[in-house]
Amino acid sequence: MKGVWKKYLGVFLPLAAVVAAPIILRDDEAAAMSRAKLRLEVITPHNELIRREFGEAFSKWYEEKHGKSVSVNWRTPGGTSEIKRVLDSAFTSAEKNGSEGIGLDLFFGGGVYDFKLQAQEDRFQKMNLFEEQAPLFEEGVIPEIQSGETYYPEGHDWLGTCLSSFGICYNIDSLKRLGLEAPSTWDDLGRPGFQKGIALADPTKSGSVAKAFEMLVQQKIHGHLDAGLSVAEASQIGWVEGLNLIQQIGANARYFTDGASKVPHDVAQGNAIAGMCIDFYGRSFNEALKKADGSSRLQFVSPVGGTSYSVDPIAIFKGAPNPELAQEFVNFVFTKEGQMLWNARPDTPMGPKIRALRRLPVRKDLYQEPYLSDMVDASVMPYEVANEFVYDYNLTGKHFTPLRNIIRAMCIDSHEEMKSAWTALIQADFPPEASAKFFDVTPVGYDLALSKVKKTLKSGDKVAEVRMMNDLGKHFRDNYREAERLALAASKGGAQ
Amino acid sequence: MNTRIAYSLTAFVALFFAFFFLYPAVVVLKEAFYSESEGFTMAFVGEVFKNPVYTEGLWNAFALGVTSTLTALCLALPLALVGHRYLFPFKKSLSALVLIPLVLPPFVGAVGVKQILGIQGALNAVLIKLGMVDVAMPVDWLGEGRFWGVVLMNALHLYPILYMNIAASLSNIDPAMEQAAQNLGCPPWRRFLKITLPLTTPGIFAGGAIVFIWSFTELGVPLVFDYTRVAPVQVFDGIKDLGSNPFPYALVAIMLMVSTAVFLVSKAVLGRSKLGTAPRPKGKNIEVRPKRGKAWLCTLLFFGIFFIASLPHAGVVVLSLAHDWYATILPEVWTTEHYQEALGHPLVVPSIQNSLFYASMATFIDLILGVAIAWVIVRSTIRGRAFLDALVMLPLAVPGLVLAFGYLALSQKGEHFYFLVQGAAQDPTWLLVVAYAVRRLPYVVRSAVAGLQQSNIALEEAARSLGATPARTLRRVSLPLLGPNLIAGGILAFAFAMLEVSDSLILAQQSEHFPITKAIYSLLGMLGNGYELASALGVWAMVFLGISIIGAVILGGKKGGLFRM
Repeated sequence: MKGVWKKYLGVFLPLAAVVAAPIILRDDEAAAMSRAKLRLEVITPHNELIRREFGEAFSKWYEEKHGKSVSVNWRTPGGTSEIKRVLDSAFTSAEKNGSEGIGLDLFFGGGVYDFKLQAQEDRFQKMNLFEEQAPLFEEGVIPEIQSGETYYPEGHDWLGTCLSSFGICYNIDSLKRLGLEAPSTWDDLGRPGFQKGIALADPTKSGSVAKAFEMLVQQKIHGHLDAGLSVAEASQIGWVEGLNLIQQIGANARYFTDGASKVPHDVAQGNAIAGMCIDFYGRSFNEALKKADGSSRLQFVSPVGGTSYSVDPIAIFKGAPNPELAQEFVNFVFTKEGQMLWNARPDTPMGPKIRALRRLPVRKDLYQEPYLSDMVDASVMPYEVANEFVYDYNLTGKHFTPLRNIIRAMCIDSHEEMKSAWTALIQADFPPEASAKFFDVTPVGYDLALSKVKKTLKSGDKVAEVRMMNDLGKHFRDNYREAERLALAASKGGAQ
Repeated sequence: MNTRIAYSLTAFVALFFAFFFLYPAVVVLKEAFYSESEGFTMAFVGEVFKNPVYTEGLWNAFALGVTSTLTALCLALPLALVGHRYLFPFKKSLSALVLIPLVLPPFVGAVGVKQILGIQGALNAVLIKLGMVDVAMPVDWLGEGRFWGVVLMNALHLYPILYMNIAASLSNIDPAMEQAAQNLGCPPWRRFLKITLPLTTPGIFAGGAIVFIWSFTELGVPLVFDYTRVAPVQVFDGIKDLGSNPFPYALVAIMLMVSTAVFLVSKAVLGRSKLGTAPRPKGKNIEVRPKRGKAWLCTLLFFGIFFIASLPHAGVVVLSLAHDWYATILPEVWTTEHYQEALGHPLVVPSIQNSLFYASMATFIDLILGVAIAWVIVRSTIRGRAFLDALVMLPLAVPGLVLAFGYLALSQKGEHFYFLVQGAAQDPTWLLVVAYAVRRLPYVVRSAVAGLQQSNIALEEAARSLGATPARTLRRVSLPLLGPNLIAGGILAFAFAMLEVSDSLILAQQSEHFPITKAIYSLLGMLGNGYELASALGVWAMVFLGISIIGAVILGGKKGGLFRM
């Protein structure tokens, strides 16, 4: 009997100790908040740190204002593509049942594209903030459009809360090892030295990433406009150059990932030399890896003249179960306290509890003293930088969806063939005939992208869509194989 | 077996399965066969075969499945045989330690592997230190490894499934048969080939079928190696595509068909013991104590496999204690801060409670259903039992995300699963329990089928002829005989339910319902130190699951021959 007890104790004592550890270390304040009676239902792709800081700060602010405790119930099915699925599924069934809402109050975070899609479906209600805090908008504290980017629509059903842009992160150790210069423009990522060393985000899975690729193409068009070409000419030539640059970067890429943090992490760990990432991810990793002497092996740059600042919006759903509470959350997010939470240092009065969120507030009036000295990224000054690049919807806006699909056929589905061909081209020092084959984007030129690709995508005929994508994929794979063959032949000929 | 009971059990199980597996799967997969312009269509499936990228992806997945299964078998079979036959130093501890891959949450394992195999990872640091690699040209193991890297990782992760099933089969073999062969002068190799191996085939099939389907549909490991031209990754990419793309569903439909076909063919070849139902062991297996050198060789075999299989775990443990682990064999600065932050996080305590509840309930349901299904498959003679057998294996072949989206669509208000999410709070507890149970059922069914095939039906018939009711026969005769197999299947079901990812990510949307895997996943997204925090919580999960499994073996395994501790 004694032996049996020993056995039981031998199992249960260590088990109890393991279970006790998190109970002892538990953050009681945060746990208490989750027991509050009033509960706001928010669906979000924001990371855990942002959820936690905003949840706790809002609860505190609300209790001070109304004397009632409130908690935020975060719904996090994943990234924006999962959220889209969840919302589509819930609204479809709500429609079937004749109910207006889906049990959610707010949609917080994601890209403008995601909010536009939901707004098109008429799923948001108007936010009171536009009337109650009219000066914020009339005086341009929150601009409606900034360097071509929409920060809130005419219908006032969503509103940008913080700014974000795409940039380049790179590992200085890897650059040194390979004798490469630090990248500062999108063009730099296409240099052959970066072969197998670029980490890329997947534009087919995130609207924000797709937007970054659109910027890259538009920058090329702007270049030709600045050189005096007509809009039509600049668009044609710039579009092809943009696609060719995406091909070069894609050929250097290790992968196209849907994980937002994978890119800066792989760059930080030296698995990739450089990558395309959202600004606050780059800055956070730079900070986390800072040594005592202030140096950091991961650096982040905004590509010169190749990016604009977009926003991460917020919106209230129609039929929200707690409409007043939802309006209050929106009010809080746009107070100075709420806005400073995005970028203040943890040790400052309006700063976060755990660590800096490294995002940039949308309110222009905070980019001055006394606020600026409390900010972690005081030197960024997004509203000044944003003027270096003005996004023009008329140039590439209609190409947004085709571009995403073109990249899939051109780079993602044909990645293996593309990488092989690229290696052969580099080894053969880019023989003209092989290069021409590699960079041939005739079936997806500026006009065809609209007249053929977009038309098919919009037709709703999935079979036709699938066939078109297959044909495009085949075109690029055949070209890459042929380019490889030509390059190998050229290098053999050269050697003889 | 009473045919009426067999039919009722089959009807019950088939209904449960049709409602909770086929229905949600069909809801999602119908997109593969439906287009607005043509209605029902085979065009998407046809296009999959016309597109060389997808056919190559399917072929690669198939090749990965076969090679991973064979490699896992090469690891598991010697382990199980040596463990069954010989006594050697540290046998008890090593027999439990070789199960270590079962305790690692898959994506946490990926983090550990990348720390070791990365360009600036520990392996390159070791090789540079030894002068075998140039510091300016470190090897890109992950970028260059690809196919064989995935095979090795799959085999190292999945061999315990084969090992446990083979060990269970071996423990059911009557030692008298081998002794008889020995007495008649049969040499050891011939004895192994003619007696032991044929008697073990149900276990090899039980484990092999799971390992094949698992590695055929494995997503996480190819993603770590950025090996994208493989069907499961193509499905994943397609499902997450912003435009609604029907391709992934057509691919899933094809993968389902391939999985079923491979299952049925291999079952016809391997599934039944060549010697029919062997008698229940009358004597205890006598373990041989080999000469000292040989005994230590056995220890080395077990330890070697344990060591290699636990490298991802070691990577996770070291990362959880590292301030910054980069380009060195071990971190230069150590810290326990990540544990404090990760374990103190408000998500953690409720997620532990949730995971324990979800996984235990799912395992409980699986054990009941699993035994019932196995009984029908092995003991009844009703028509269609082979179909039932293949049917219950299908959850392994349907990607978690597909099923999760099916559950999500059906649990909305007014839909058929709405009763599973309770009230306005949208509590997905029972939805998750059912989802976990359905996806883990194959482990229990395979183990129970293997056990029943090997246990002697004459014992059950004797009980029945002495007047015992079918229920009493099951309780007093069949179940005790099935003990080791059910423990093996139960442990697998529990462990894999605790480590479930896809259903949890989609269905547990509110933090109060998060299971532990989703809590780990949330921490992974923290900026700067997310990987370290996720590792710290991952280590906690490993320790907890490790103690639970060893505990189950110690406390529950005493009757069986599987794990004599």
